[in-house]
Amino acid sequence: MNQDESKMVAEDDLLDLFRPRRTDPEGFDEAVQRKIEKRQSSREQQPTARWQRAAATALPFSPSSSKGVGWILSLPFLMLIGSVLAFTSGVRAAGRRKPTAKRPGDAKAGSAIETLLHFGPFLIIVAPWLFGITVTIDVLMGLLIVAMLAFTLQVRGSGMAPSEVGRIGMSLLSTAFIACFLWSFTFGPLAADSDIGLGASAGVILLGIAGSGILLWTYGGRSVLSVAGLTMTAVWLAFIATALNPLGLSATDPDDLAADVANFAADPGKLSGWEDIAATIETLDGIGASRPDLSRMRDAIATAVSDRKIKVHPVVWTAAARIGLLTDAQWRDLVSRPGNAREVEQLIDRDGELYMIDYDEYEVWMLCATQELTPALRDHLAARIEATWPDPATPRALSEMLLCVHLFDRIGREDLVDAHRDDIHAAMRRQWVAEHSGFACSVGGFTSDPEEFATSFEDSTWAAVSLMTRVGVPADIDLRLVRAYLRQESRMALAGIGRRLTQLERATLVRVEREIGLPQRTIAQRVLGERVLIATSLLVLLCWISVVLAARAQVLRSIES
Amino acid sequence: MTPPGPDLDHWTRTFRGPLIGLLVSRGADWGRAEELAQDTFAEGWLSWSRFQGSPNNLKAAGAWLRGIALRLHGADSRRRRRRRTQELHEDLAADPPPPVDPRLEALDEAIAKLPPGQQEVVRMRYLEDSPPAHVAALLGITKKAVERRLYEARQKLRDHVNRAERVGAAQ
Repeated sequence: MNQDESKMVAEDDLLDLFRPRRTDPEGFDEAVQRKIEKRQSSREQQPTARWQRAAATALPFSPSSSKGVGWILSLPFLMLIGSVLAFTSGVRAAGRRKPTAKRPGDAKAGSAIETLLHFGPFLIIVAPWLFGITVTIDVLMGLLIVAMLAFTLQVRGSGMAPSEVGRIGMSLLSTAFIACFLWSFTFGPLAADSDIGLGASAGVILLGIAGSGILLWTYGGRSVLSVAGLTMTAVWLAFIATALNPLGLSATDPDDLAADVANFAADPGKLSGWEDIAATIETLDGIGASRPDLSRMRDAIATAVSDRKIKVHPVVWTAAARIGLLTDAQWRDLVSRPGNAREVEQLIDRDGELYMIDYDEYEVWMLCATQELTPALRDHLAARIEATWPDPATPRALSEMLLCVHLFDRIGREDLVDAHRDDIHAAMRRQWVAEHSGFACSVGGFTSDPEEFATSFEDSTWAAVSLMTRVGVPADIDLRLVRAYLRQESRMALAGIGRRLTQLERATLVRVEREIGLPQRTIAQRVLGERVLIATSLLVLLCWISVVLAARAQVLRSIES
Repeated sequence: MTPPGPDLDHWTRTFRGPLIGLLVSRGADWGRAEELAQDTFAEGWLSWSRFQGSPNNLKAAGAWLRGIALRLHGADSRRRRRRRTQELHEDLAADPPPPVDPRLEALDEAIAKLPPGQQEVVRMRYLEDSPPAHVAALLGITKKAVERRLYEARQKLRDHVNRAERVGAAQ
C-alpha cells in the first residue's frame, strides 16, 4: 500500500496520545496471577457444571467429589435408598399377607395401620415436595393419631396377641420417627414454631419404643423378643443416637462458640476456616459476650505479614481485618508490597464500582489504616461503594450488600446503610426460600440466586441475618422459619466432625436467637407450636395403652377358657 | 502453580495492548478494560483444556481470547445495566487522563469521530505500539485489512486535526 505519510497523522502523535493510558506491565501480570489464584480457589469450592449445580440443590454432597465414602454415608442419601427399599419390601409384604388378610380377630384398624406403614415411608418422600413439609407432617400426625386411636379402641375385642399389637405400635412409632426426624435433615421448617425443638419429640418417641419393648417383655415373656430382633433394635437405636443426633444437640452457647475460636488452627497460608471464625467472633461481639483469647491468631497473622513467602489469600486478610487482628504498623508493612500499593492507589485514583469486592475488601481496610481519611477521600470511597451497591434482583445481592455495609462502616458512613434499608429488605424477600417456594429443599434460609437454586445456603443466610441486625427483619419473613433452617443445619452429626462443619450455621443461629430475638407469642400460639411434641406423646401413650389392653384381654380370655 | 499449556507471559505481552484497546472500543472505560483484560487472560489460562489449537498459533490464540473477552465484557455490561447506576458505553471523554497538549486533545476528539472499526484498530495498535499482526489475530481478520483500516483512519485523523487547527486559528 502506497502510504503518503504527509497526508496522515503521525504515528508518534498517536503513540504519545495513548502512552499515559498504558498499563504497568508488571502490575498487570501480578493482577492476572492473583485473578488466576482467586478463580482456582473459588472453582475448588463450587461445582461448575450446570447439572452439578442442580444436583447440589438436592444432595448434601458435591456430585463431583471423589470422596465416595463420605457422600454414601450422608444421611439423606441413606434415607432415599432406605425408603425405596422400605417401599419395595412393603409391596412384597403386602403380597405375602394377602392369603391371611382376613384372619379372624384381627382389628380392622390394625390392618389399615399396617398398610399405611408399608407404604408410608415412600409417601413421606413424595408428599413434602408436593404439599410442603409442615402440612405433610400435620396431616401425617393426624392420620397416625386417628388410626392409632381407632386401633386402641378395637384392640380389646380383636383377640390380637400383645406381641402383635406391640409390633404394630412400635412400627407406627418408627414411622413417626422417620417422618419427623430423619427428614428434618432435608426439610428445614419442621416444627418451626416449636421453642422446645424436635429433640424433645424425638426423645419421647425413642422412650415410647423402649417402653413398648419393656411392656412386651413384661406381658409377653422373653419369647416375644428374639435375640436377632433385640440386636437389630439395639444397633438401630445406637445408630440413631450416635449418628443422627435425635435430640438436636447443636453447641450454640456462647461458650461453645468461644471454644470454636480457641480450637481454630490459625494458619494464614490456608483459606479454610477464616471466614467462619471471623463470623463467630463477630457473633460473640454482637451478643455482647467476651472475646476469647486471640493471641494465637494475632501471632499467626503477624508472621504472615513479616514473611512474604507465606502466600495469604485475600479472604484471609479480609477476615483478619474484620476482627481486628492487624495493627496499623502491620497494615503499613502490607501496603508497602508492590501489588498492594498499586491496589490502594487505584482505590483512590479510579472512579466507579469496586471490582472483585468479595475478595479485595481488605484493600479498603488497608487504605483506611494507612492514610488519613479526609472528607474528600471519604466521599470518594463512599461514592465508589455506592456504585458497587448491587441491585436487589442480582444474584448474591445479600452477600454483596453485606460487603458494602462492612465498607460503609469502615469509612465511618454508617448513615448510608440506613438509606439502603428498602433495598436490603427487597433482596431479603427475593432470596428467602419460603415454604411455598415450590420444589425446594432446605427451606427457611436464604439462597444466593432464587432463579438458579431453590435451596438455602449458609453463607447467604449469614449475610441476611447479619443485615437483619442492622436494618431489621422485613414483616413478611418468618424468623422462626429461618431459625428452623439454622437449627436443622446446626445439629451436630458425629460430634467432632459436625462441629467444625456447622460453625457458620451455629453462629448464625446464635445471632437470630440472642441478637435479633424472636417475636413474642401468646400462650395458645406456644401450645400450638408444640403440636408435634403433643402428637408424639399421644401416639406413645396410645401405643402403651394398646399393649396393656391386649395383654389384659389375653389374660381374660385365658381365664374364660 | 503449573501452567497447563500456554506461555502466559507470551500471551500477555502479545495481546495485552490490543485487548485493552478492543474492550475500550466496545464500550468499557480504560480502568474496566484493563481489569477485563486481566480476567480474560486468567480465564483463558484456566480454561486452557477447552482450547483447540496450538498455543503458538497467533490467530487461534487471538480468536480464543477475543471470545472470552467479549463474553466477559457482555456479562459485565449486563450486570451494569441491571444495576442502573452506570450507562453502557460510558462517555470515553470522561476517562482520565485528559491529554494536556491541545494537539493531542484534538486528536483524541478526532478518534472518537472515526467509524467504530477504525477506532478499534487505532486503539489496539497504538496503545502499546502493538504490531498489526497481533491486532489482526485478535480481531480475526488479515494483517492487510488492519493496515488498510489504519491507513484510512490516520488519513481521516489528519483531516480532522487540520480542520480543528484551522477553526482554532480562525477564532
